[in-house]
Amino acid sequence: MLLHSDGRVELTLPEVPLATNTVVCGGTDPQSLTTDVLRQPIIEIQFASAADGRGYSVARHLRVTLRYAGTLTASGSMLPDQLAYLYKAGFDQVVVDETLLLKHSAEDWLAAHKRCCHDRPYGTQSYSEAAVSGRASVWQQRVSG
Amino acid sequence: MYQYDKLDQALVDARTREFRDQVNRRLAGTLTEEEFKPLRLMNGLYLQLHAYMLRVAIPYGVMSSRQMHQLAFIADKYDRGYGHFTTRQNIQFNWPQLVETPDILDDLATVQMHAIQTSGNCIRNVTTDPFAGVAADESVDPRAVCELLRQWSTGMPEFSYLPRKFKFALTGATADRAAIKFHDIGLQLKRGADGQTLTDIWVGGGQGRTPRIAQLLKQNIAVEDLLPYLDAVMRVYNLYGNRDNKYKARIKILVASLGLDVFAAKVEAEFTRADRSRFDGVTDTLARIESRITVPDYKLSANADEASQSLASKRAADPAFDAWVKTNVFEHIQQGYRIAVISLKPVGGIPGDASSDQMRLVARLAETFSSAEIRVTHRQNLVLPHVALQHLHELWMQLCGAGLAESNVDLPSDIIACPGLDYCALAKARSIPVAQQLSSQLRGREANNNLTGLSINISGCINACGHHHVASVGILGLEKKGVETYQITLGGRNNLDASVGEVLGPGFSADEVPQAVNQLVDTWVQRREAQESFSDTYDRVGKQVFAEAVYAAP
Ligand code: SF4
Repeated sequence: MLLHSDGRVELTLPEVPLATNTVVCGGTDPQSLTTDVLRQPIIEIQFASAADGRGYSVARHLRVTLRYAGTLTASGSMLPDQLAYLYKAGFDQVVVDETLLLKHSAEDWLAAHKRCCHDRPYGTQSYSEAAVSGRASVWQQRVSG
Repeated sequence: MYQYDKLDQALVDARTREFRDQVNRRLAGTLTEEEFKPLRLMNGLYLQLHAYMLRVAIPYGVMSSRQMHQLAFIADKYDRGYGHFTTRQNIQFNWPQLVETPDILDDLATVQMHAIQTSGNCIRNVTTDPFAGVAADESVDPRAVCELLRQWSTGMPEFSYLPRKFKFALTGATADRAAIKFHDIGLQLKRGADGQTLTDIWVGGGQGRTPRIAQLLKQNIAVEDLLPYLDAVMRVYNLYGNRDNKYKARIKILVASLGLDVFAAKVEAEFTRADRSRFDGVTDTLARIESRITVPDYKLSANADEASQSLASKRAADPAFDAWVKTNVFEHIQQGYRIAVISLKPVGGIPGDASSDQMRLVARLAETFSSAEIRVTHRQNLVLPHVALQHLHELWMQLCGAGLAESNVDLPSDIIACPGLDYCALAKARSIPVAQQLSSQLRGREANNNLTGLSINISGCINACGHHHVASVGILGLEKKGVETYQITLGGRNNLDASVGEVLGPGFSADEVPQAVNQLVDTWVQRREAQESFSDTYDRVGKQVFAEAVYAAP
């Protein structure tokens, strides 16, 4: 299934678009990414392991430094409990494929997705990072009173 | 101290709910231990030798009386009636049941406490000078920047799955009481010519199996650039740090392998390139934090002269009180006030342990004598940071009644020891019994010889949680053919003249350690000049002199 940071859920993975994505592995040196990549409508960043946080920095580089405006997709090895972190780091969607569903059931993924997109507040907030679905960071909330 | 607002509280509450859910899934079996591990570690829950261990954050070592009362309550309700204060200025509970840990976190959250980021490969609880804000030798109070760093790093996705754990330490004083040169990043805050705050950033320090002294990465960085710069350092580490071998994964190894210049160039490029919008308004955030740090009213300052005369006569009348004031009481920035350190190193005791009764007493004493504020030091002692001169004697008498008046702060019996083989799954040897024996032996000598300038730190394995590398006399537990042995290192320092101790020679059995330490102390006392510290004498006379004394003995 495909989970979206705006709260939407697609229960089956679309076949066509994901196959044509630009795939960047989480361990890629962001400096090696050329500006060509910015023209791609979807960029998929693959996480080699749930404990390997390099994909977050690659995402941030694309999204914030290079101002990539397309769809950022996370795939590979992840835990349901990391969904909120992925959305906060700027990913628009997360690919939950057969391999991930073998480790955690669809219910686990959907519950985690609901927790961070719909139930609030949950343990997903940070001070400096804007949360999912346009929610403000704690620092922004303080400024706006 | 910093007062949480409702947004801070909401964040802590939310985190507690999330953890309860994770524990429930673990107990129901939908999370395996392997999957649960990184999640529980983000919340300070370790699996030790005999039980789970919960490490509770005491951000930069500052807490209120109310919080200390709650820690005592938790020690009684969920543990065995005691807690262990750590070298990271936190507290650990050694015997919680997994099923009860969400309740513990709920109870902690009622006093704005939590276990967020006390373990795992993330930015850990920031540590600082336990005398921050009140030290007579301080030019910048580091607490607001500590709180800013705490907020910046809390729940930050990008820096939650780093190659390895990451530790910051800060000081704004002339004397470094936070060991900033032995941290992944050490920040030294100072005043610029126009009174503005400037920061020097030291990088790549650490202990463990590869001790390194931090190197100066950047000088005089302005407040508004500090977080963007640290963000750049963290991103470079996250992207390029070693992830294949956990023993080579700390930033010190990355800095050493790239070389400081190359590392600094990468950071500088990232700093220049990165978008800074996340840090818009960071100086306002810092100002808001500063405004939420409460300052005691120090109303007894006016009576300082009278109080100091009366203190002098009490000291003259009571040598035990005089000894305590000499070792455990420190200058305060405010006239008529002092900083009082409560030693958690009673003779023959377990370094850093406090019973729930002791915690409650300290909480009450802080309410009465220290504006309800308490600090934890990296030497595993407690601090009452705002004690009026006229209250010192009364405070001391009450501490005496609870076994908390040991006059040994910064003396050899003020030993740092890690939990070692009594608790820790990684240990090779016991640390606690060695510390207990040494403190009993050394305490007697302290009364006769002036032994200021000698520190003893003990680690139960090469991971060096007991900071043995940076002690005058470091003791490292090893296992040789199934037997606990102890290697001694000499000449370490954790101040701004940082140095790593050198191995003295072949190791000792647990029974031989006390005698070896006695001979080292004898040699130092015979050879030292004037006020020389142990490590200064060691540097001057050399290892051979000490080795001969120890190994030649019958
Ligand atoms: S130094 Fe070793 S034995 Fe001691 S606490 Fe650390 S890992 Fe455990």
